[in-house]
Amino acid sequence: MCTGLVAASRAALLGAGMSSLSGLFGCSPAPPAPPGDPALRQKILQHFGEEVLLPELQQFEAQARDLLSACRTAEHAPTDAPEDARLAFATAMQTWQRIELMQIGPLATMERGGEDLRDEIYSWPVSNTCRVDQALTKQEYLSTDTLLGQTVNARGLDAMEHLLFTEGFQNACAATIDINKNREWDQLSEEDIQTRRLKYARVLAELVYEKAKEATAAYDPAKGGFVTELINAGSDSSIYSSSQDAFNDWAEALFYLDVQTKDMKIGEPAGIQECAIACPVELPASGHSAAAIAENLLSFDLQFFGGSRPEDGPGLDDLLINVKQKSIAREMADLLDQAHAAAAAVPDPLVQTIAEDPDAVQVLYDAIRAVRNLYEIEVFSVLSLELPDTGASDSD
Amino acid sequence: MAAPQAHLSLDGLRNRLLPALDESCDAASLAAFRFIFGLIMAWGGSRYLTDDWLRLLFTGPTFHFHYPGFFWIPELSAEDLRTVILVLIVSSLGVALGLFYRVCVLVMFTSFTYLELLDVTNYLNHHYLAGLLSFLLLFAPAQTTLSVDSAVAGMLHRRYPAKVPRFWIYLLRFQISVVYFYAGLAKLGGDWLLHGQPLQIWLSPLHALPVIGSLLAFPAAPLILSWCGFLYDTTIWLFLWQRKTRLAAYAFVLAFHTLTRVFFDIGLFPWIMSAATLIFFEPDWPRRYIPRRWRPPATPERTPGVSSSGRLLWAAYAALQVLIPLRHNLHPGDVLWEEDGMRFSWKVMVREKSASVDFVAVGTHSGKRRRLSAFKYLSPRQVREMGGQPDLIVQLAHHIGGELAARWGEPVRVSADARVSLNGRRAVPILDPECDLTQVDPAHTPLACTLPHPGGAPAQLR
Repeated sequence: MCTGLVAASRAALLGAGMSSLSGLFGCSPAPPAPPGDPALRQKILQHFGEEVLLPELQQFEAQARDLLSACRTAEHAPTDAPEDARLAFATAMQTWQRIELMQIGPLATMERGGEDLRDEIYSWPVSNTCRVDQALTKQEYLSTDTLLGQTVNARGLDAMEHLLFTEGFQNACAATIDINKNREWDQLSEEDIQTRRLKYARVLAELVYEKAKEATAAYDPAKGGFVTELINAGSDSSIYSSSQDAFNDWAEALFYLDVQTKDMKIGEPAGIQECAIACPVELPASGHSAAAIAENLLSFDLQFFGGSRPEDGPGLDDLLINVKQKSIAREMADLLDQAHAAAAAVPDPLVQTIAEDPDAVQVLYDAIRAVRNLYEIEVFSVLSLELPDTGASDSD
Repeated sequence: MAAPQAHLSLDGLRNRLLPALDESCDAASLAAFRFIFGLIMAWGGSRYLTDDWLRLLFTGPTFHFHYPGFFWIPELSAEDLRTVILVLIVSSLGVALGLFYRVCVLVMFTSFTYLELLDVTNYLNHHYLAGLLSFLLLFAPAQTTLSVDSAVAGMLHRRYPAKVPRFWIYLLRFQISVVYFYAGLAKLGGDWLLHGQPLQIWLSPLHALPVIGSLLAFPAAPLILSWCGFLYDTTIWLFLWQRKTRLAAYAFVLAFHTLTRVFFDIGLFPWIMSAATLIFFEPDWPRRYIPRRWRPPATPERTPGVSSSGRLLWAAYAALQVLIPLRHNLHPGDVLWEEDGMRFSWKVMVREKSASVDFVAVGTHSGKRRRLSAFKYLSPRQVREMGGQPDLIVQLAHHIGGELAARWGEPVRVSADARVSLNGRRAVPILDPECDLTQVDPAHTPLACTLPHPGGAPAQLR
């Protein structure tokens, strides 16, 4: 074969370049053992799936079970403020905010090859508290089938937040909406409203718990779940024909920190970014908006470092080091430290902080923007990452 | 002494080249070119439908970038676009078969060009090449043999001439040669030849490929392949022109494009180039592969030669093909960074850009200041394409300025916080962040407000 190629290259008179091409693919001495990157890439994907994503889902499942239990208790004591249920909600929401940046696989939208599982659990930013009050008024929650037939924002954690945390007995709908126009809401007593809120919240907690179990199972490699696809990316995976495809998909999930966290959770409500229509903070009723941002940042750490610190892992930072880009990995660690410090200076309730200390909010926004810049430019470039949709069409 | 030499040289041109162009030759290779190219265009058209590109490229984005002078191009509904694509597919098949050839090739060229003009971010060098080859086929007598049209004419005893002037073969060969030559010339730079970038970036995810992956992991592989690519592009067309080296050169064409197909997602490009370079073979080569009983007679008649005025027009076309890729030299600056003169220049696969772009809008009366994410207006794909192309950033700034001026009721200044990494270098601003881009003409070159390339070596990943 070597002789053939050499002969061909002579015949073609294509010079040294072509000879080296033939040499490289046929006749050169065996190259040294390849650097560890294919193995490292596989290890990083496996670590992400087994040690980061799956444990978070398992933790959320346990917390969703606790939330259901607390909601059941609250349902039977409708006159008391549902403090335990609120606490359980806050705990589950903390974990969920970390999972928000891990929307890869079944959690992701169908458009991205997922199963829309995330929206079934938490549909923000399409939350619609008026829709929840309509469902409450019409008691749609009495039939799970009816509720499941509604848009996702009539259920999930965002609907639960409205039901568990809203103080007072007003509804969130405009006067022109049927429950106000037809005076249906006015016919409910305060006790009716409170009872219905807790009953509805319990039904939603059941659905969230069911979806949490479904999500854990959908990822569990012991049940052939999605983590298997990550582990087998580029070999036996039915989704990822190469490990790069898996990295690209994962990389897109981390864009959450830019588009949702920086822009929608901070920039738009704070008036730093243009907002065409009303852009409220996330989780306004519970006042956990800033806490959610801090958890989003923590999730970025977990994925980038493969743990909460650079020495953990393996994570994306180890891949950067592997391709001799330690300075980028180190700079990202510094920027994330700065972002965490900035987040600590922005307490809940976020609406109040925006009004009273806009500079601190601006610092947080800029800190996350710096993380975003380094991630979306340098990290993307040196790791040759590409957003999946950007692969539409060809390249040259 | 110089003048007579020039005179002699012109005479030589007139006496040798012009008769060679007018010489008759078999139309079979032109027909084969028509057949394969038509099939590739039909396949390419079908990908708009089967790969969901209709939505991702055309109907999904709410904002489209226009080519200078083509702001008038109408945007059609999804249904109408689907029809255009179907028309492209059918007409391409018509071209392949040589059925109603003249009508089909006109429709193929028009529909394909329309789709290409819809959004600059869809620009690809090989789509430009496909457009040019379609344009050449508009005039070339590629249906005179091995076509339905010629078969029907034969049945009606109106035999088509099976010989054509060699001019058409040379014109296609020239077009392919221009692509290769300038693609090679574009690689004549430090990043490519000294640092092996951006190949090093692109090849690193491929180390896990079976067999070849371990070869790509060889530290010198990106640089060796960069040199191979450079030598291939700059010289292969010369070897294709020579009868003695043609066959071996074509073997390299196939090997090269097979490798690029394996390494990169460049769709039609390897197929177009592998098929188009067949035009370098002797004009009668397809007849050897057609069973004798199906082989149409190679009649002595030939289609008319190209008129003198036609030759002048084609000479102008050739001159444009030579000059357009050089236009970036009219002003200083790095074309890979500023991108003035990047399109239509065959600078194929020579730069890797990653970017992040935010816009900053300021109301000129109120002083109201807001940041805007490009993702609000564009698909992720468009964001990626726009990020490295300053004129597109300016186009979107104009759009944002107009939209906010209407919403805020005052004139709005729009600047861009645009940071770009070229071939793995650390990101730096590509546009002056203080510059009001609504006052910049996106079609003017050199583009105002562009900051110079910072220089320095690209990233080294090994």
